[in-house]
Amino acid sequence: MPEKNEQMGLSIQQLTCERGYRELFTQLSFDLLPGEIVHIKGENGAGKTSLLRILAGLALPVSGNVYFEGYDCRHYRNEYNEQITFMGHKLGIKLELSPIENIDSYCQLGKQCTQQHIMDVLEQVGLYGFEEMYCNQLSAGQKRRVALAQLLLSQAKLWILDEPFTSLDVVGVDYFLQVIQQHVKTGGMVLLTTHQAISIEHCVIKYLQLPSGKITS
Amino acid sequence: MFKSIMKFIYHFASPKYFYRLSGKLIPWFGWLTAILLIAGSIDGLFIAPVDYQQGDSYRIIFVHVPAAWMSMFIYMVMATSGAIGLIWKIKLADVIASSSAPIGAAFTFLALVTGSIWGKPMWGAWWVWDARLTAELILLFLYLGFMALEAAIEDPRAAARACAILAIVGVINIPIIHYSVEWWNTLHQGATVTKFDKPSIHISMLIPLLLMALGFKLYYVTVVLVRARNKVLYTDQNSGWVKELVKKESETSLV
Amino acid sequence: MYNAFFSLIKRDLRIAFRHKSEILNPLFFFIIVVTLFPLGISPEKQILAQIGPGIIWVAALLAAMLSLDSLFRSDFEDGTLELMLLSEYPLSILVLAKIVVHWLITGLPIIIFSPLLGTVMFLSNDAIETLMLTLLLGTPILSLIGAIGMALVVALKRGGMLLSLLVLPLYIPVLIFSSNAVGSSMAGLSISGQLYFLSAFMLFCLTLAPIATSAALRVSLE
Repeated sequence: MPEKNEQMGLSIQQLTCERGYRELFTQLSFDLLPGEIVHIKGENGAGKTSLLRILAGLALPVSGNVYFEGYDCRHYRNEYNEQITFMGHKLGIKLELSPIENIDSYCQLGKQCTQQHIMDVLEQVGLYGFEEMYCNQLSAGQKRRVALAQLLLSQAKLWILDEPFTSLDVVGVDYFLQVIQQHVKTGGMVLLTTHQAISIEHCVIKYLQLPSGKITS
Repeated sequence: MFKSIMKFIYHFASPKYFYRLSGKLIPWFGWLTAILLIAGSIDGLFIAPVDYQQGDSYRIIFVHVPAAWMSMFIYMVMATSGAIGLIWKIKLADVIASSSAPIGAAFTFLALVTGSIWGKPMWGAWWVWDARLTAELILLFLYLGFMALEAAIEDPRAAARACAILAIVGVINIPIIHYSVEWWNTLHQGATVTKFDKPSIHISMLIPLLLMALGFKLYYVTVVLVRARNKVLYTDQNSGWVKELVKKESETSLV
Repeated sequence: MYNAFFSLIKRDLRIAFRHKSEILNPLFFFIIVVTLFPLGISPEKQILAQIGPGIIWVAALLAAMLSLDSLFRSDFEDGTLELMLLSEYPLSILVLAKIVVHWLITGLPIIIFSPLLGTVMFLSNDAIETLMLTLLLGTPILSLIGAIGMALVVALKRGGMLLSLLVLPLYIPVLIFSSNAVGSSMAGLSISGQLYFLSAFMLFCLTLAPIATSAALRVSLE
């Protein structure tokens, strides 16, 4: 991107999304500024995952635009991908590889991280002693932690998290919330869906209700 | 300039406008098709002279050749409109591509059947692995693949885009397949009609052939408009104009 | 970008070597299919030598097609394919890396074992040489074109049959020119024309197939 306006963050304009011929939401507009969290709420089938996939650039909306720092994301795909990280239902972890190998191949897709860095992060997320095991020997929660380690290494400004707390234990959720808080404090942005009630201190959380698109603070 | 052209195209290609326009055009195309096909058949079957080598059996070319032309032409239309739908996100182009596929497959099948019927007196067998028939068979496989892929993907928009990619890949490969099949086997008569500057077929045979070809083309246009019209109603079922139309129709049918 | 390309190749090779069946099964399939023909038709030398090139090539075609599943399926299921789509590098480069790996684990073993099958089908030494050469030029095409088809069906639960319907018609030129080249060299004829065609077709696919594949992946993952 040639020039950037740091203040603008993510801007969603008039997004309409259909699945099959069923309309999920129409004319959805909202902004996400640096230092903010948007928590997307809604019943099953309201279009939460669809919205996140559109914002990650994985799916196309029927109409509407997504701007990041003033640029249309669809036209600057590679640059936009540099700025975001997406954690979906599928974790993006190869079961035949160890956590280190997984994270290393993740980093090769465009993040800079050294071996030492990877080891530090794995220790932070509580996988010390499991680095060399194949991931199919890890529990669901531990696999989630590997994905969390990837998130920590991503250096992206915008985190898009779809049900990130699934299968994490209480300690894990608390740690994840701290990580999110830290990210937001340093000017990051977070979009997430979760069915759990979360509380993050000292952070601006907006709630987006789907399919109505109403925003509350 | 470019923008205003695009705006015009988007307006023209809007489902609502298309629905109204095609409704007016279909009867015209339909009648023209009927006239051309009847005239072509009469001319081809009764008026055109007997071939000195093949006798009357050659007359099947008045169906076979136009059907074979159409089978190629419709695949081109599918690939082109698929690409238009993919690049400019014009819904109507996707609709045209997907409603063309079964018609194209039907023409390909017709060309195969008439080809093998024609082959029976010529070669003494219902099927000969001749270059053109084989290429036509492969084209039928391409059509079937397109339709199978469309049927397999649930989301209609994703299906349209996937099929567009498949059609473009197919259209790039068709010349290569044709060339290789031709190279593999050259048994068939040479291309007789494509050389328009010096046609090697007599004018009295060429006229019914062209009449039939034009009739087939208009038949395709008519049927694709009918199919696309139905499909547009289905894909646009959420929009206001369709709901209004349904309301109006049900009111008039009640009266 | 080259880093990403080579590290993806390294990663996939590592996974393939941890799942040795992924390498061995297509190869066994290839060998078994070829073995079936003498049993089904006749063990006579003359007949086998005549139909041998075609049979070996059809078997190679089917082996390449049936192994396409390993190209994207597991990546799709565990979500690494999504990460590839969200990478800041061009998707077609990453896709090309995956195709290279597919060729290394399915095409290359077939090439290595083809002299053996050529011998049991009574091909002449010249013909075996040509067979290896055509496989060397042709199997990359199978991986490249197959990747497009696989990308289109990766998200479908029962995509296997559909994949063969999509991909096999596009394999026909390779089959025609390759088996013809082997047959011609049996007869002592020149085969340069066929080899030129195969080379040109391979380069053509090499430039366009990754682009088509990445477009198809983006549609499939929507």
